[in-house]
Order: sequence, then structure tokens, then C-alpha cells
Amino acid sequence: MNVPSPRPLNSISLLWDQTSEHQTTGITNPISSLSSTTAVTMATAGSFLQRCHRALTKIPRLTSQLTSQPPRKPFHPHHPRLLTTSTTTTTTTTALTDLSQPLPEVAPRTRLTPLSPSYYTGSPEYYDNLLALQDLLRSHQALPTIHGDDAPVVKWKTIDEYRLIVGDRVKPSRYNKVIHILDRLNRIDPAIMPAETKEVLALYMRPENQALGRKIERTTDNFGRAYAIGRRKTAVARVFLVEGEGEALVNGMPVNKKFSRLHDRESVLWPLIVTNRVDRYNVFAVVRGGGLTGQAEACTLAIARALRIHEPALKHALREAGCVTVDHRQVERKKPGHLKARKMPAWVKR
Amino acid sequence: MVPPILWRCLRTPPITHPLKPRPRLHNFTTTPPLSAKPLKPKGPPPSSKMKSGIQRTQSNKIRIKKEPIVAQKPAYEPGQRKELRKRIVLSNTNAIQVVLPTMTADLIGNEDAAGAMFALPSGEEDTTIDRLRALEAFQTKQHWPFFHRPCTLFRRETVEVGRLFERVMQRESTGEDGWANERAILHGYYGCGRTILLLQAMTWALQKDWVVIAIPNAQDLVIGHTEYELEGNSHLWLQKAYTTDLLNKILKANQKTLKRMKLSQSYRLGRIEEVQKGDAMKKVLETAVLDPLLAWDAFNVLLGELGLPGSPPVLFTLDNLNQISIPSKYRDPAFNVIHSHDLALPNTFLAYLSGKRSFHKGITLAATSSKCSRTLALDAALEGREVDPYERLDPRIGPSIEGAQIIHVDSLSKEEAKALMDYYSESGIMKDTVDLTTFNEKYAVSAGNPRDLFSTCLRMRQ
Repeated sequence: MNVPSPRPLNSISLLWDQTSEHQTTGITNPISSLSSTTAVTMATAGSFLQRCHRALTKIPRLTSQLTSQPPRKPFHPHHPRLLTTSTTTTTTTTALTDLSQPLPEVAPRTRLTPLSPSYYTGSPEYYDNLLALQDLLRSHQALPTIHGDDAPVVKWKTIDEYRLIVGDRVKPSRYNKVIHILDRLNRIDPAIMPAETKEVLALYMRPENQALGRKIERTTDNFGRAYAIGRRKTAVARVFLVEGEGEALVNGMPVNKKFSRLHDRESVLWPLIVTNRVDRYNVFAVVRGGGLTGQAEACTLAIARALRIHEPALKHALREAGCVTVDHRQVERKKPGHLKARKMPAWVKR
Repeated sequence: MVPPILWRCLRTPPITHPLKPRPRLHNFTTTPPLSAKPLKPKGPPPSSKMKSGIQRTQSNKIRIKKEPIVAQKPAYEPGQRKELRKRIVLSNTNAIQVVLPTMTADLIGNEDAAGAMFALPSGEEDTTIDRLRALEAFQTKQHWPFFHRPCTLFRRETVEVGRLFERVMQRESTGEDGWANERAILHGYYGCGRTILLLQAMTWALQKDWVVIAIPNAQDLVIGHTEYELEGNSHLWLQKAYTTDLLNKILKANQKTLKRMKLSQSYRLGRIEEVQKGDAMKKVLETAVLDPLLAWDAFNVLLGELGLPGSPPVLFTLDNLNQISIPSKYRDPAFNVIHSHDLALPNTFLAYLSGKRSFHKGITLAATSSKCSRTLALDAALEGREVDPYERLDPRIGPSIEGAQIIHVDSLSKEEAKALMDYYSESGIMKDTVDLTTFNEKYAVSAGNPRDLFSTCLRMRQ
């Protein structure tokens, strides 16, 4: 998709009433070419971009070159932040209504007014973009959403690609804010997702690479076994899950022989307990490495994964129970000069 | 009448005792000398004109008012803590009463009863529970204080124990003069209910008026807490104090049966005491209980009489068999470790268990324990596997349990676990309702182990 790069706008985010004409001539061409080449479906996305970069859309209206264009969609009704003064708007409307006539003579302005409300934030492009996204989200706030696990899998643009869109240096934390909003928009029920939102989201999506993003679909084998691996601390659990009567063998032993601690046993069977599937599956697990707690929790993860092969719909319940997220913590290494990972030797005067 | 004190005596000077302090008498006073208050210690010397309060403020000394040292009363009397630790509480009036059938002797070997709860026999005249208590058949940490009255689960393994009784009783009823001896070892994983099975066997035996001899914890025999001495003839180490205790327990539990038992011949107890033919066995034991020197002889008399035809059937039990399969803590005069099998009491029990000695009619029942250090030789013998000649295992362990039937005590079946959980729920200690979900969860987590099942039922999940 052809994404416009509004980088040259940096120099013109401040609108100078008198001198705007000869300054903006350089950038009108890419805009007009964009509007002419993009398809009709891109009209909404275009209007979104328009909102993102108010400076971009505002300036051509005042220029005589673009007066032949049809008037664009007005600003979003929810948008409360029109910092431009009423005099400016009147001038733009007169400019748009009297297309052929020369601009009326107005008294020269004594004060310069920035067109973008984010002008004084330091990175107006980013904030314009963020505010526009927030407005979009606000307008769709009431729409029903689906669970994040069910939402279509999307890969958003990386931070570098996003920087190209905004045309400014963006901090990772600010990028994360945008991604957060996009994720929330992506969770709107796909059946009623507005076309406008869809297209906005499409702007931020990374083109899918079929070769790279191919996901292996895991299924049960021809014996009806689901196989999965789970890791915790230094323990690795390999689990075969079969439909059965609720027998559990860990390293060939019943759970009460392998794990003498009741809590560990509960950890092992936790995915089956929370989903109320204890008496429907037989577990055969092989655990290696680590201690008893690590082995028990490695089994938890592996059983939860194997259970999802049998019944993918259990993903929410398992996530709620904490059986989907991997606990990747490991023992912190000892450092030279320290007694342990963090502990320092006691201070001695000399 | 002549006065007792003569006038002459009054005139004699009073006799003064040289050591007795005499009150100093003033020339004239109306106060009796002894009731007068002692003189106060003298105050500050009259030369110091300062008041005592001012003096105190000017002195540099720190005045600390010393509190009198009071001898602290100990929190526990000697032996009180042990008594608290060993106390067995068999009923809880706060628990909800559950109506259950009584575990009577009719149930011996009844397969249909398996998977149901039964209450131990108790009543106005029934002293079974007291006798079981005397035998120390109840142990602490068996959760008795949670329930209104002691109840047990009738399991598949209980049926198997009942089979032993059945076989002995069959011989009894057919009138065969042959010997009827059953030997069995209850073996299983931790908390699987071996001691409770011993309790159930004892309950039946007491109801059937058998003689019950129970060693409640074999560990007491080998950890070196009781006195011991070498007996010259058999080269065995006697534990007379423990034997006295054991006889006391036997006497308390089997009063009725022992009263009926008559001696078939005269015996000599110790060096002097003699018991005549025709005396009641109870009398022998009562004599022996008073004197530890007679205890071992009396115990042998009892066992010898029980081996004769016409004697009542016997149940001889020992809990924690593992403990007598490892070296004892006792030392001989050369400071060598005494093998547990050289101690007289374990030796006697193992003689019965391995069939070297036998009762006329009786069951010898042992239970293994999980709370013990590793006993590889016993494990190998219980599994009945071939021992690698390069494995250095104790060669005396294997033959000591040879020929005994091994009853594997397994996890609870689902029906048994359901019965137990219902009982917990009705007794009011389990808060969850027993539905399929809870049952499946608790059964899976405990893997059918009775001890774990109890703790899962009692535990609240955060």
C-alpha cells in the first residue's frame, strides 16, 4: 500500500497567513497525486490522514492550486480541539465558497496562530496522530468487543516503520501508546467493525509475509494423543494427553508418588481442574531437569497446551487460570564482585 | 493435799538455759515482751542535717529498685507435654453426628460391605473402644478429634484382612485339630491406611473374644529408650520394662478371655515365683505386671499356652515393621550395634511371622511404615525379587518375613473415596458440596490416597 510520507511537513506545521502561498507550493504536488491515484475506498483513510495531519490538509485549501478539488469531509464532529481562531475559519470558508474570486482583502494579522493544536508539544505530528486515533477510539467506544484471543491476528508496523509514517522521532513508550489503541480498535467485533476503522487499521498493518508467518497447526495424532512441551525454571515437561478416565502418570508414577506436596499435585492438574476436565483426560508426562516445583509447573504449562490442541475454545479459561502465559523467569546469574546475584560484600572501613 | 509445787521450789533461783535466748526484761513494763515490735533500725545519723529527699537528688548513684526474684512456675509439669502429645481424643461433641451401622464381627469377609463407612462399636456395656485404646490401636494424627465418634471405612483391603479371620474360624468350626495360622504383612504407600486396617482387625478380634497382643509402634523397641539386658541361654536381649508395659496392655484389653484361660501346667516365673496348673492366665499376668523381673517369663508362658490345643485364637500385631529391619540403637558391652532381630521381642514376633513358631489358632499381622529410613533388604523381600549378590543387603531380613502373605494396600477406589467424602461432608468438616466436579478434583489431586484426601477436603483453596 502506498503510504504517504509526510516528512517534509515539518517545516510548515506553522501556518503563516501571508507567506503561505510560496512556501506550500513545494508539497502540494505529492498530495494531489496521492488523492488522484488512490482508489475510492481510500477516501475514508484519506480523511483520517487528513485529520492526522491537519497542517497537510489545511494548507492546500488556502492555495489557489487546489481550489478545484471538491470540499473534503469536515472535521470529525467529536473533535473538540480546533485551535484555529474563528477569523481563520471564516477566511477558509470564504476561500472555498468564492472559488474563482481572489482572496478578499483582510487586515494583516498581527498574531501568528499555529494550525495544529499540538504545535507546542514538541512533536506535533505524533500527537496529532495519537489524538486522531483517540478520537476514533472514542467514537467507537460503545461498540461490542471480543476477547483478545479471538481477535484477528495482526502484526502492526514496527517502530521504525511507524516513525516513517509520522515523520518524527518517536519514543518507544509513545509508540506503545499507539499500539495499545490499535489493539483495542482491533478487538471491536469484526462483524460490525466500521469500514472506516478497518481502513485506518490497515494503514498500520505490516504486510503479511506468507513464508515467515506460517503457523504450524497442531493436532492430535492418529492415536488421539495431543503432545506438548512446557518449561519452567530449568524443568522441561513433555506431555501426552489422551481422552480417558482421569489417570495421571508423571515419569511413570502416579502424581502422589512423584509429588509429595499437595500444592505441587494441584499445580500439575490445574489446567484440568479449572476447566473441569479431570475425569476426561489421561495424562502421561515425562519431566526432566529442575526441582519439584519447576517440574510441577512445567507440567501445568504442557498440559494446558496439550488441552488446547484437543479443545482450542478453552483458551480464555486457561488464560484466566494463568496456564497460557509462560513464566520465563530463570535464576539470576552470580556476578563477579558480588556474593550472590545482587548481594554485595559487607563494607569494611579498610 | 500437798501442792505440786513446793514452797521451797519457788525460792530456788530459776534455771536458765544457756542456749535459749531469753527476752530482755525491763524493770517495769505493761507490754508483754514477745508481742512488742522489734526496734526499728536507726535512721540517718543526727549529724547530717540535710533532708533525705535533697540528699537523693544530689547523689550521683543510680538508684534502681530491685524487684524480688520470683521463682517462675514452669509452663508444663514434667511429662505433661508428652501426655498432651500422645493424648488421643476420640470424639468431638461439636461435630455433627452421623448415623452409621456398627462394624460388627458379622462383617468379616463381607464383600458387599466394601466401600461403606462403619462406626466402631460403642455402647453402654461395650468396652471395645476402651480396650482398643488400651492396646494403643488409635494413633495421633488419624484425625479422630474431627468427628463425633470413631468411624472407619470398609475397604477392599479390609475384606482381605477379613479373609484371614474367615480361614482361621473355618478351621475352628470344622473342629479340625490342625493348626490354623495366618501370617500377613500390610504393605503400601504412605498414608494408605495400614494402621487403620490393623485397628479394624483388632476390633473384630476383640469382638470375637480373641486374645489380642499388639506392639503399637516397633520403633519404641529399637531406639534405645528402654532398658535391656542379655539373656544367657538364648543370646537375646530382653527388654523387661517394655515387656511389662506390653503385658499390662494385654491384660487390660483381654480381661475376659484371660480369666477363662487356665494353665495346663505349673510354671516358674523368675527365680522364686511359681504358678500352679489350673490357675487363670489373668492371675499370672497380674503377678508379672507388678514385677518387671517376671515379665519376660510371664510373656513366654502366655505365648506357650496360646500354642496349645484348646487355647483361644490370637491376633498378634506389630506396626512399623520397617523399624525392626534396620540396626537398632542398642550396643553390646563391646560397643557393637545390636541387630534388631537379636532383641527378644522383635525376635519373637518375627518367629511367628515367619512361621518358626506358631499359635494353635491365630493371625500374625504386621504393617510396614513409610516414616523410616531406607530398608532395601525389606523392600526386596516384600517385592519378592531376586537380590543381586553384589548388593550388600542384610541377609537376616529376607528369611524373617518368609512365607507371609503380602496384602498390598492400594489407593482408594472411587466408590470408597465417595463414601469417605460424604462422611466428611455430613460430619460438617468439609465445606464444599460433594458433587461430581469437587469429587473429581479432590480425587485427582489426592490420587485416592486417604490421608491426602482428608487434607484436600479440609483445605480451603485461596
